[in-house]
Amino acid sequence: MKILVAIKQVPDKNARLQIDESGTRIVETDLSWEINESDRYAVETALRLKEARGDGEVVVVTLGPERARKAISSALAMGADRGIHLVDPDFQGGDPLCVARALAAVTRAEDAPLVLCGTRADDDGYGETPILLAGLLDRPAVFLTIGVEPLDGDRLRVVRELEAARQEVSEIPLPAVLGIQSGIFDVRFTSLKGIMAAKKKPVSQPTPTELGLSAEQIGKAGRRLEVLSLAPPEKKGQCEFIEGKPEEVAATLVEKLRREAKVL
Amino acid sequence: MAKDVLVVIEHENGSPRRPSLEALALARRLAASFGGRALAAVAGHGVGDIARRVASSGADTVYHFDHELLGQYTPDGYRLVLEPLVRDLSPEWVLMGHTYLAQDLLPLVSARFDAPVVSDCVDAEVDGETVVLSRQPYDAKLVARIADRGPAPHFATLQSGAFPADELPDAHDGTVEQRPVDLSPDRLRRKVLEVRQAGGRTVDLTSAEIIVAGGRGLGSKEKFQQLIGQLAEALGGAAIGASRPVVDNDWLPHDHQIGSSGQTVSPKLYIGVGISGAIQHVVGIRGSQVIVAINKDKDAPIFNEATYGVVGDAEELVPAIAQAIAEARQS
Repeated sequence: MKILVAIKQVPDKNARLQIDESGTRIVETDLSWEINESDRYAVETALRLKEARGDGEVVVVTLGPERARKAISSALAMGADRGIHLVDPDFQGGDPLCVARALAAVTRAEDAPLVLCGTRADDDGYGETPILLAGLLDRPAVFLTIGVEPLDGDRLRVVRELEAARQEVSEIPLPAVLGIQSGIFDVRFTSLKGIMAAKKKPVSQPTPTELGLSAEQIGKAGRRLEVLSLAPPEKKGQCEFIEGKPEEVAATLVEKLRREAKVL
Repeated sequence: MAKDVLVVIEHENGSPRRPSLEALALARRLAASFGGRALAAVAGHGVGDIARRVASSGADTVYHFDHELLGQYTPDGYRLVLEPLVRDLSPEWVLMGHTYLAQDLLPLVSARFDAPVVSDCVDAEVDGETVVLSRQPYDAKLVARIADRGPAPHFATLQSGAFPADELPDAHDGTVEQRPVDLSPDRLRRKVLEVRQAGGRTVDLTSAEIIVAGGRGLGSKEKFQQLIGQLAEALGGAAIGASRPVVDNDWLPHDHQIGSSGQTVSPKLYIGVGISGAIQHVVGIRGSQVIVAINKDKDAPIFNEATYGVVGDAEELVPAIAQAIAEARQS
């Protein structure tokens, strides 16, 4: 079975973010980048599915500028077979629906019965691409997948995380789309051998036209959602900071918890 | 034409869920500004009482879908009733609380209308017919103000607790309109086999009076056990909680997890150590009476939630605080 995994390159979690002159974007220079956390779990899930079946192909796709090629290389080093990089400028700057349209076109072109995405990108945090994609393709989908196992007859058994530590176990038919949750197992490390092998694996760069997409459907030209401003949150100002040496801080804090908040 | 706002209501144990009522509160605010109505959709089996309750809580008309196959949530079942309803009503906005169900469902519906979802919103600026929503990208390190330039319907989900439901009226004479449902089992592609409690819950934090919680910032399982254990002991055996990375790394069993995928707590006192304050954790602690945050990063979002904040190294601070608490409790 061919499995398409959509991944995104995002700034390092600990990066100090600065806003550019437009006031609507972060400054991208001098940032270090990594594969989005839940997307790594999506890649791992795909590799495990392929290994369990003993056949199939894992194709990773990413939408992003030149720098995002590194995210594909990392996934190829983990063991994915092939990459697709939507690097054409017309793809860039879109909203989640534009991304889902591009991924839908790739899914059709690849005729992939299973598409895996991370649940949520740690940068813009919309957390809706896999389900939008399923909507566009009219496929069944499961968001926040924490377990998946193939069944006979082109069906999957899927475990979905619910609130309050509950889980839903269900069966869905293929073709399907799954949004994979983080932290569900250990993601493999890349070996030197994997990194060397990755260099020989093909990465294609289809244009929008090749995928049957017009510029108005994708990227900046296709987006509905506009960022009017991007800024650090205003401090609510309600937090009272306690400063000093550890012993002084401890004494002040305990005093406040007893006399002011009356919770001790 | 009047511009209406539709809320998709989730329910649990015979009542509308709080995030849905919070969405209804915003729907009323938007509808008032648009000169339209606040509408609601309730789908399920035997949920007539819930529909009536939503009508008396502030919805002008509640569209009630009753069918055996809606008794258990499935994305296809809900979509198959909601999509025609949205086409029929042509609301300006469709709102839901940003719950797991909404994330599993709403983009499936919005895609049918060529619209994305403005998800996990924390604020709304409403001016006449213009709505600007605020979200918290980059793990709540930044705030983005978003406008949807596309045609109606627009779709949004609202972060739990961001839009207080206490703005809802005490009484309202909304109407309930039952709508026909045409569903058959073969149209529901997800067959739900079981809903279960993950690994059985042995730790109940929901009724704890004092909770000490630790996060990834503590660095290791050993440090977590040492520092959080010390503080909990000084407090006379406080309950121990954790953020998601801690349980994912097996520093502590999963049933200690606080947040959207764990437990929602409401202690008198919550002390968070080395917890940055990712929204998935924060939504679980907002019911706390007093929040103390200890973190080495002064910009950590947890301080936006905290009553008292201490910026510094947990290894130096926690022993001192534990000692001061122990002494105070003895005096």
